[in-house]
Amino acid sequence: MHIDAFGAFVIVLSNFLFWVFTFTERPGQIAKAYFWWSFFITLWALGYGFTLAGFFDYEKTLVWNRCCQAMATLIGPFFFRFACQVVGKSKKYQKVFRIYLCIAIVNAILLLATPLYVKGLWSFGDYRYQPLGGPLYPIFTVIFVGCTVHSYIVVLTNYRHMSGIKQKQVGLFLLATGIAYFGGGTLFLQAYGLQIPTHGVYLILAYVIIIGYSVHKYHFLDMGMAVTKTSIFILLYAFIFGLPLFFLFPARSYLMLYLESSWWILPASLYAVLSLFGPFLYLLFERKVENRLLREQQRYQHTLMEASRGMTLIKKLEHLLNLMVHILTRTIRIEHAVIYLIHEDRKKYFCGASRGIKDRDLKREVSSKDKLIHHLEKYQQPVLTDALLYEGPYAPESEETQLLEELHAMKASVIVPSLVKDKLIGFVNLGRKKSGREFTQADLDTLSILSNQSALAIENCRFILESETQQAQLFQAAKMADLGTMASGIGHQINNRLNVIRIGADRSIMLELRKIKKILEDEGLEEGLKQALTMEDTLRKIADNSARGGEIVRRLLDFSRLSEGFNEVDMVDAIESCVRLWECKRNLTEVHFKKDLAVNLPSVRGNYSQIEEVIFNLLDNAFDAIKMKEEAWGTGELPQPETAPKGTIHLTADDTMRNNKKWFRLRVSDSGLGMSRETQHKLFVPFFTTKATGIKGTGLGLYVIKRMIDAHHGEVTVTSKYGKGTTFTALLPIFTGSSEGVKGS
Amino acid sequence: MLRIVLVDDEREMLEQLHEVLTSEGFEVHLAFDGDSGLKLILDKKPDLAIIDIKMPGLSGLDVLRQVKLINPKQRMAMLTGYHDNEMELEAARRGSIVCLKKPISIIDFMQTIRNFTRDL
Repeated sequence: MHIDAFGAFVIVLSNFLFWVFTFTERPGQIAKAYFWWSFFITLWALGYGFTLAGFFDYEKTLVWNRCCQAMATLIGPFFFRFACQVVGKSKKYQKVFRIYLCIAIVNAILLLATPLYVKGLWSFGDYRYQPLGGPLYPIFTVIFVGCTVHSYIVVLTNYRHMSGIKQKQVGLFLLATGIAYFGGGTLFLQAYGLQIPTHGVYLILAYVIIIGYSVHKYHFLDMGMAVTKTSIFILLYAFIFGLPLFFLFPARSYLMLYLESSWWILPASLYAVLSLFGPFLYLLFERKVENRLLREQQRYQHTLMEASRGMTLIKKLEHLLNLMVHILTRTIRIEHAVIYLIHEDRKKYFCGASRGIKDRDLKREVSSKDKLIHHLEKYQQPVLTDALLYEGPYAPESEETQLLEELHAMKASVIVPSLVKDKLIGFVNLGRKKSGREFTQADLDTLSILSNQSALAIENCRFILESETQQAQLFQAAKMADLGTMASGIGHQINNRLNVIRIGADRSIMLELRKIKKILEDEGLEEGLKQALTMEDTLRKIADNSARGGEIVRRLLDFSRLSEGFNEVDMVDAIESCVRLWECKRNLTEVHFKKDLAVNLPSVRGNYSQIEEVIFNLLDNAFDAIKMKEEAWGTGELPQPETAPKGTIHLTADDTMRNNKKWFRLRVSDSGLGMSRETQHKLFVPFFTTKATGIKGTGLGLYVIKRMIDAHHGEVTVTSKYGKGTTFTALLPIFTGSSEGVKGS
Repeated sequence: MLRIVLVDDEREMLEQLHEVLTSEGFEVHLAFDGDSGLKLILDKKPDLAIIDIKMPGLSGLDVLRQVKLINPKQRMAMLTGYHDNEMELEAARRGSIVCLKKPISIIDFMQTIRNFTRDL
């Protein structure tokens, strides 16, 4: 047997074992392509090994050699497919592969059936048989070389745009196949009659070794376990077969010395024992190695379990997010982790928690219009920056380019979406692993699970928070309702007390004090008279304040009555009646009052007394604003114009469309004092009043208006400019027929 | 001299009012519940009767209705601490000329009385 034949058989054996283990795991696309390529290499090596070994006679060896050459023809197209698959361009070159395959199959058939390619065998040196090429042998060579060169062109053009793990994988692929093809290339020459040794066959082994290494180190072909298992198998059985073999050959003379004719007992019993324990030993080693290899994965799973157990217990969102970034950076050992959560308004994602990232690199908000969000929503898969780069290059304005820019800006290696029922409620931005290793599919799976689990926990937290707030609101509402029912009774009582106080004060002023003053005047007691006047002043204050107290009580009572039924309200009627009432209270000759009611005003769905209250208050406020402006002129707070015109109050009522719905619109404009921006913000806050000197204001008017309009599911807005005037606009829903449903709060 | 009847269960307040109004030259009669108030109004036939709406026993509105039944020309005004639009509306429907809201000021009170009895 020629020494080079041994190399060919080693190729066969190692490939064979490699496949066995490949198919114990689910092979991916690249692994499948690799399998077909190495399958034909193996078949070629088998035939080539038999040719070189010279086990058979001339005729049989010729058949073996033709078989081996036919298989070699098929290596070309399958290498092309493998190469395309490695750079992720197999779809693009699908047609080319099929053409190559057809040509190769035709060639293989012709090669097997005719002597045109391999016309015979010859021998030189210590080679007993070597193929001798026929007239068509160059065609075979051209097909093989053509496919191979095209494959390298495809890989090299794509190699430039790669980075990270993929680049390393492809680099090793180039190295491995380069050495193999260089070795293989020397095996054509003998067919052309050149007397060149065939030791190049050993170089072919390089591809098995290097690809095995890249599988182990860079997860090439996605089958780390297969290589390890193969190695264990080979080592173990080399030991099992090798040890007795050692006794069989080199140590035989020593054994014969001691055991004489029964020397064979030792190797035979060794075989028996070792082959008995072999399978058990293999299983033992396999498990040990699996544990070692899967340790990381198990650690993840453990973390995952711990984390999910912890997460559901946490009820505070902030704590939960901090726990998550802690797990990611400390336990899973990732450089940085930033969690983004969707904002209530659904317009942006905000940073909920972060760890391990510099402040200047931290992006606080991500708009939901960003390409990244679109991508996550569309694919619902983690985004791996390296993988994206590897798929490239992209056109400068393409979606992927923008996405990559966003990822770079965020310093993200991986973005993992958090999904609940296909809804993107957040995502996690992760940096590189501290170990410097690349993210594997297993990592991404684990992270996805963790992320989705946390999404649930986050929803849980938010729900708890919401329900707590709701509970508090309900409690508050119940309290308010109680207060409401008590209010009328309390109000009545307070009013009666205030009434007595007021009348008492009035009476004292009108009766006793008047008499006292008269006496003091008659007696000429100036000092006493002064005191009496002070007392009168005090009594007036008592009277006025009890009046104001009564006013507040009245507002409170109105407020507590908010929960009455809703009906059709004729707005013309309501407005007219309010204006009449208002005219009683105010002297309308002091202002210009104008009212514009559109014809065919629609009815409003609401509560008559509340609506009346709203209109009345708006008019009354307008009047106050004008008076306040006049006061401001007086105090010099506002420059007084030369001819101070009368203030105007303008009431308009019409309807308007808003959100495809018709609304009743009431506007009350005045040319009064107006408000600063800050005041406008605080306008609807209870007990806030600008009428600070407090002659008239209770600070409840606008709050009550807002509450009433809210209860109607309407809207009240204000536009105002200090010194110019104010316009209040109230929108109220149109009455559409049914009077049920809407109830006040 | 204007004759006035005041009906309210707030005795203290009525007594104070009585004092002031008398000193201002009104002839004032008081009743502290609805039943005696009704009798008093029918008996005295005042120029103006002012009745609290909410009273134990016969309410202000009841008194108003019954007085109006017997003597439709009797001028009646209501006094209320409740500020209930519905009730005011009801009072107006039954013939009350005005509804005074507590707490009242004596000056406003007298002004109202004068306004509504100007024609007398």
